[in-house]
Amino acid sequence: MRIVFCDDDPLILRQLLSLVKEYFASLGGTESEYTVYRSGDELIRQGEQFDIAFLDVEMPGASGIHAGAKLKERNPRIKIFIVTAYPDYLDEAMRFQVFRYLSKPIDKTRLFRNLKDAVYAYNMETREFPIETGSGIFVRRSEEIICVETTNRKTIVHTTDGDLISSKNMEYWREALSLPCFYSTHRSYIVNMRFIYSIGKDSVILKNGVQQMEAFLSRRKFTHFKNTYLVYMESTK
Amino acid sequence: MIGEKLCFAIVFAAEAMIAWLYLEYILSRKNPLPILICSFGMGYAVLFVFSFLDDTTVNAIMFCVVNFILIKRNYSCSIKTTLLHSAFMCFAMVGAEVLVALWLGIYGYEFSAYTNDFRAMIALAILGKLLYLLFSVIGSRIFAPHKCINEEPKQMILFCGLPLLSSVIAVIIVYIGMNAGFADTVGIMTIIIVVTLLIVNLLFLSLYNALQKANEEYLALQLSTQKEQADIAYYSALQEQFENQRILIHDIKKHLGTIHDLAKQNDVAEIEMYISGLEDTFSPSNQVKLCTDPILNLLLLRFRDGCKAKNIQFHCDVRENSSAFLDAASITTLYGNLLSNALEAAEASTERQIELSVIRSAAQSVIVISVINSCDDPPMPDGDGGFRTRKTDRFLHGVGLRSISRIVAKYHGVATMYYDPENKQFHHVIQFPEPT
Repeated sequence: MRIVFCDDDPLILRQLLSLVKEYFASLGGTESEYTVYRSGDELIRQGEQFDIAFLDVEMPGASGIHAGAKLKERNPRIKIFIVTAYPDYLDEAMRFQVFRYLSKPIDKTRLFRNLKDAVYAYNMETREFPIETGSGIFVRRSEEIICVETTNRKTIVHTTDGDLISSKNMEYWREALSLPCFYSTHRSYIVNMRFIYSIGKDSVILKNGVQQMEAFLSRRKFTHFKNTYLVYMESTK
Repeated sequence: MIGEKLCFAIVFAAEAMIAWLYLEYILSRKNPLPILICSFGMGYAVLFVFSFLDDTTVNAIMFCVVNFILIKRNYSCSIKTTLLHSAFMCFAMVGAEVLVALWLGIYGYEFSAYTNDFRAMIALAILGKLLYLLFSVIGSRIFAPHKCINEEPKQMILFCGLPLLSSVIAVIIVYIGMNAGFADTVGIMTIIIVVTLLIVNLLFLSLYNALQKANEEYLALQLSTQKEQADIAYYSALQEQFENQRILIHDIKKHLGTIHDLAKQNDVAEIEMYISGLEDTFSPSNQVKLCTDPILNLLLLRFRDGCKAKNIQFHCDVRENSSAFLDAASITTLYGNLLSNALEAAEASTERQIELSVIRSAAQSVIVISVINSCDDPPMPDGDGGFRTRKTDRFLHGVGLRSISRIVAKYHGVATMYYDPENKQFHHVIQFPEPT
């Protein structure tokens, strides 16, 4: 993961860097890349792409809000943390999708919990799945898979850019789509909760832009599904 | 002979009590209880006397008339409502008697065959009263749906199930009595059992009515206390504002005096400097804003102050226009209850933290509200998908949660609660569809 910090306060920068490094070290796996800037102008000038950003609001030159908007243009999936000493409402910040607000001084427990949410959301959006079909293998990110459906002995993977007939069966997809955003609402359906528009007693409506589709929901799964969906929505907020 | 009359008098007293229970549940009383008891006593005594005529039509008409007078004199309601309830009671009574007669008919017994046997008559009359009680309980729940809105389905089953089950038991007992003959011990035992069943039913429903009334009064008292507290807070804020205004006027007078003195000395540069200094002093300070909704903002500011006083960390992230679809009263009820529940739990925890986030998901056209509070001990599930209260005042159990559920239902939302044992946090998540 590429993580950037931008703050004119060296003390806060040091504290944040050390805490974030500590968090990612505890996760193990591939080591993350850390970049530090002291001003918003400098950050914008470099033109780099990042996965997570920690930005101060008030800095010399471009503000954290302005820099954040630029970073979002370069990578729409970036998770932006706004770090501020005045955690009162920031009208401008609210207009582009800030992931979380962090107050100075940094609270370690809260930072770790928010980082966990950010990594979770990032992984859920970016994990890739190969879809084997009769005409070749197509790779789609989890955020591009709307649902998997079995009908007339065919397993169809509905994606944001069209349907693919998978050569694998439903059991395979049930195991492959082990991310928390996927839920098997019925023996013939696995839905991506990211696309849920409404939940009925026996069906779920999925929406992708103007396109809508219906997936069956087992009645006995209704309560569990509703609760799982709300917990998922809370984690992606 | 006197024994027989006494038994029938008891049956009429039971009828009076059933009527009283039914009416108390539905209507508002306008006379004190002693007057009510006297009225019902006199009314049903008249019916008892008329019963000696042994004419079913006259008895039914008299039953309707006496109940009409009793309702009109003792309860606040219109003529139409009075007519409706007296007619319903009459139909319920006749219906119960007809059911008993039909039941006897199934076994090929003639109702008249029992008129000469006083024990059989009493047993059958009480069976009729149990059915009458069942009909009146069902009727009261139909005619006053607003009153049973807070009754759980389990309670409803209990209230209707108890007289129903008692009627079934009475049917079996009376059937045994009919086959064994009502003579001597069997007859007396049959009467004792059915009378006991009727008394238990009446006592249970009277007790429930009394408890429900006490509960309503207690909630009304709580509401009035809350209103008083809100009034006190309002007047304190008003007082503070008045005090600030007084200071401001005092300061303005002082500054005007200084400017006046400087003007006398023709010191224009000094006046300019003084005024620009004043501008800095009076520039409207950045008013603290936690969200764009003015009512929610005030509520959050007040809550944040409360948390500060109790040394609880409060973080809030309420995104732009995320609560615009809620009316002012709903905002107060929903967020007020959510946050007060969180505060109560966080106060008793080690971490002492509350986090509120209200996010709009444009992609899914939904609004997600999440309240997370620190909570050291996992709450006990109540078996209905919720959690048991920790309130010392058990009367208030579920009142806040019920209000939240009401708002969730009003705006077609869904909600869930769960405990995260790893982080020792309690989560309350609500999702509303964004209005189109």
